[in-house]
Amino acid sequence: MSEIQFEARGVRKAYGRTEALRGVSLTIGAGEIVAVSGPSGSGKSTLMLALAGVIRPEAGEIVYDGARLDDLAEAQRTRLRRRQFGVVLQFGQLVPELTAVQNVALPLLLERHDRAAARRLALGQLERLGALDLADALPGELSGGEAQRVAAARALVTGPRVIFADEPTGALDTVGGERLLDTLLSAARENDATVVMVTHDNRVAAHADREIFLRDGVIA
Amino acid sequence: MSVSHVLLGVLAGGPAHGYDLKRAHDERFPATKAMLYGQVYSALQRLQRDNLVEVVETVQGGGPERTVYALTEAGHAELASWLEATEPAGPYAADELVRKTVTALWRGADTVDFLRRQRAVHLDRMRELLALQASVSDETARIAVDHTIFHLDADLRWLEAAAARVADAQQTTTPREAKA
Amino acid sequence: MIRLAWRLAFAHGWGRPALLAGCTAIVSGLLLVTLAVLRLPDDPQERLFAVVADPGTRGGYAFGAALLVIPPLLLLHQVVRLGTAARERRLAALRLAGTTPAEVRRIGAIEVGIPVLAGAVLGLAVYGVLRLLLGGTTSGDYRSHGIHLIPTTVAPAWWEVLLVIVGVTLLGVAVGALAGRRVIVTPLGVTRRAAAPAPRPWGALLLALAVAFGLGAMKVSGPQAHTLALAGALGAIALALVGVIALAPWMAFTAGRLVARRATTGPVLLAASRLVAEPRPAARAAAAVGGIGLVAGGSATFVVDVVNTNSDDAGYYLAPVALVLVCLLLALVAVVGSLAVHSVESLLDRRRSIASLTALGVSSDTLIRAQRWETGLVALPMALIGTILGSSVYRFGPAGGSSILWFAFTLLALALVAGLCWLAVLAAVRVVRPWTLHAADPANLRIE
Repeated sequence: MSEIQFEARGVRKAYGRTEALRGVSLTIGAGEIVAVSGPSGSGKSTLMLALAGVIRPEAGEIVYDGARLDDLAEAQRTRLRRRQFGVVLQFGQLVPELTAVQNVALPLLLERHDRAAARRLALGQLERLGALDLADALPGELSGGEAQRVAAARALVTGPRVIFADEPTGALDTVGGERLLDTLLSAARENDATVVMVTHDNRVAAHADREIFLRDGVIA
Repeated sequence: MSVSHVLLGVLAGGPAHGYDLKRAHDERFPATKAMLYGQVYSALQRLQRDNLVEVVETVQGGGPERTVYALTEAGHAELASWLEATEPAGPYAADELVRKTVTALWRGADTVDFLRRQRAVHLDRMRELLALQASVSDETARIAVDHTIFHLDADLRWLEAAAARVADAQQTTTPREAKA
Repeated sequence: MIRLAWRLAFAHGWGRPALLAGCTAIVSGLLLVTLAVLRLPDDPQERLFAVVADPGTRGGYAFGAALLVIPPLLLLHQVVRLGTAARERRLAALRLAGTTPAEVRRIGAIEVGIPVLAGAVLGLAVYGVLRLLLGGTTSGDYRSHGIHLIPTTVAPAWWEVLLVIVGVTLLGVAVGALAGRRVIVTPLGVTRRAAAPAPRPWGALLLALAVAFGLGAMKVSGPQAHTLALAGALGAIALALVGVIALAPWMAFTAGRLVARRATTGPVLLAASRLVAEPRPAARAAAAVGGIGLVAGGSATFVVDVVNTNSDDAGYYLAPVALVLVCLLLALVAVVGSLAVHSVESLLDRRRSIASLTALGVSSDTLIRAQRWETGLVALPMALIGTILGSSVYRFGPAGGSSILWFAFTLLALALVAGLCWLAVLAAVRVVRPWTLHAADPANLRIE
């Protein structure tokens, strides 16, 4: 459990003139549940996206499983994300014209799974998250909490080794958020998946094993 | 004091032993310090003196914990009026924490360190409470723990805000030295 | 109010009004050409290509010229919806500020009406230029290598010109009003969309009516023949136009539904579901393709007609067909633009959802393939149906000759149209690539 899965060394990233990350170094062990917290504008989401290989840092290195991540070509990073990572965002992440079960099955379809098998796996995942009755609903018909549960199911369906979550409970109320968090984290623990969770909510951060606190683009 | 009112609330469910009263209080407020028997009895004494509770049964040879108490008419009325009255909205100033934080931030040295240490303490406590919440099955007990958690959260947010305010003030007075 | 509408019309620069004016200019110019042709006496006083000079084929030629009006009108419909999100918000803001629905409708009409009127009047210039370049010559100085398609000895009467200008303006405004319907209803704009009602195939009925009108127009005879023929032809065109616009959403929806059920790969599923959820935008672009198909089909049959009637003058007849093909290619460019506009709108609306797909591990390659499917699934059927329709109507109308030849040429036209359509789809998606990549940019995920 304590083998190092992620390592960041001196990561820097700027958007135009704003420096989002100003030299971040950290390690994350496999199976750890880590919260990335900090005030708004501290660079948390940028750090998460960099660790997930979605964006490339301008300086510094990101190492995943012993190999350089930021070095890989776009196509390889995309494939890695598809197979090994799962992502949950705060809102607006489901494809609006697909039903819930189609949304959950999409990553499998893209991995060339058979359509019937993909649907079966998707339904199973929805059931595990208590959202089976939502299977044929469109995202526009779901409440915030329901949509997040579907998004969580989509993140978990490929059996990822790492789950990235950016303010997963941000748009939910206390009870709904807590339920989602419990479901997501227990599913992750069951599969020994690592969780990197961005949050500005202290109560959410307290659910993690460890906290990485960012302020102004550096670890405080 | 409010502890007496909690006991009145427990007795509203029916007569009970002194021991039962202590147990009920501890169950409903798992995060606070457990009540001492001495506290229970002095509270009960006061309530008896004010005619809000009365003894309904004494067990021969048994100690005070085996005495059974019950609410009087006046007791019921007192409980009702206490529940009807609202609590003032503040202030929640935890005096020591406030004094310490303000001093540390205005001194300007090691502020990052101070904040990190204090935050770690609060977060650790929050983690403990969350684990406690998960282990308790009664939903009303969770509500009581929530209160403490939310207040720790408020303290943490206040710590960050205080740091931001100080940084802001320093920036307007000495712009060059602000980004240390 | 006119001043407000004037400012709104040019709010986003000259592009949109210029395009609108351009469309109506072409439409009114072509209609004036048709009128001139129909005014020719049985024995024209000038040297013209036989297809125009011969009263037998003249009707068909006029009809063909009038048919060319359809692609620009469909493009007009598409252009009206350019920048629709911002426009809807603007008009919704007006509603919130207290403008009544009637006033907003009026403003919308004027906003479209000004460029459209300008274009209709400009059509006179278009007609003049066409006459100059492609006009007939009075016998005597016959230029052996000129194209003589448009009569110069006769011209439409002043009242006919006025009729065209007013008619085209009204048509343009009507098309614009059709495009702007939704804003009047929801002053607060649309936040959470409930599924819109599924489109119905009423368009097919209108197309059938259009065919009837067209056939009737070509078979009419008698003293008022040419006015009736013109009226019939115009009626047919209007009906065909509305029919194509009305049928396209249903086509998109049905195609989407059929394919979504059988989709086995990600891109196809995404494309088909998108068509089911929002058939109208894709349909609008595809309607223009249908219009092109109509013209292509008619031309194919026309060629057969020519080949069958006058074999020694064939060259003179086929030249205008080449001209028509050139026009079709130009129309195709317009269609590519149309398809691209639709794609950009759709991408901008869904930025966050697309960006999160990227975060999930969907490659930009997949997104582009989905776009191709989304556009192609509607455009191809529309193009093919349009071709068959245009070809068949002309066949059962004035054209005669061998059925086998007609069949062969129709198939040729179908293959050509299909090929061009696919190229248009590829081109449109390629043109839009920068916007696709921009939409997929993870920067769209940032909230802080």
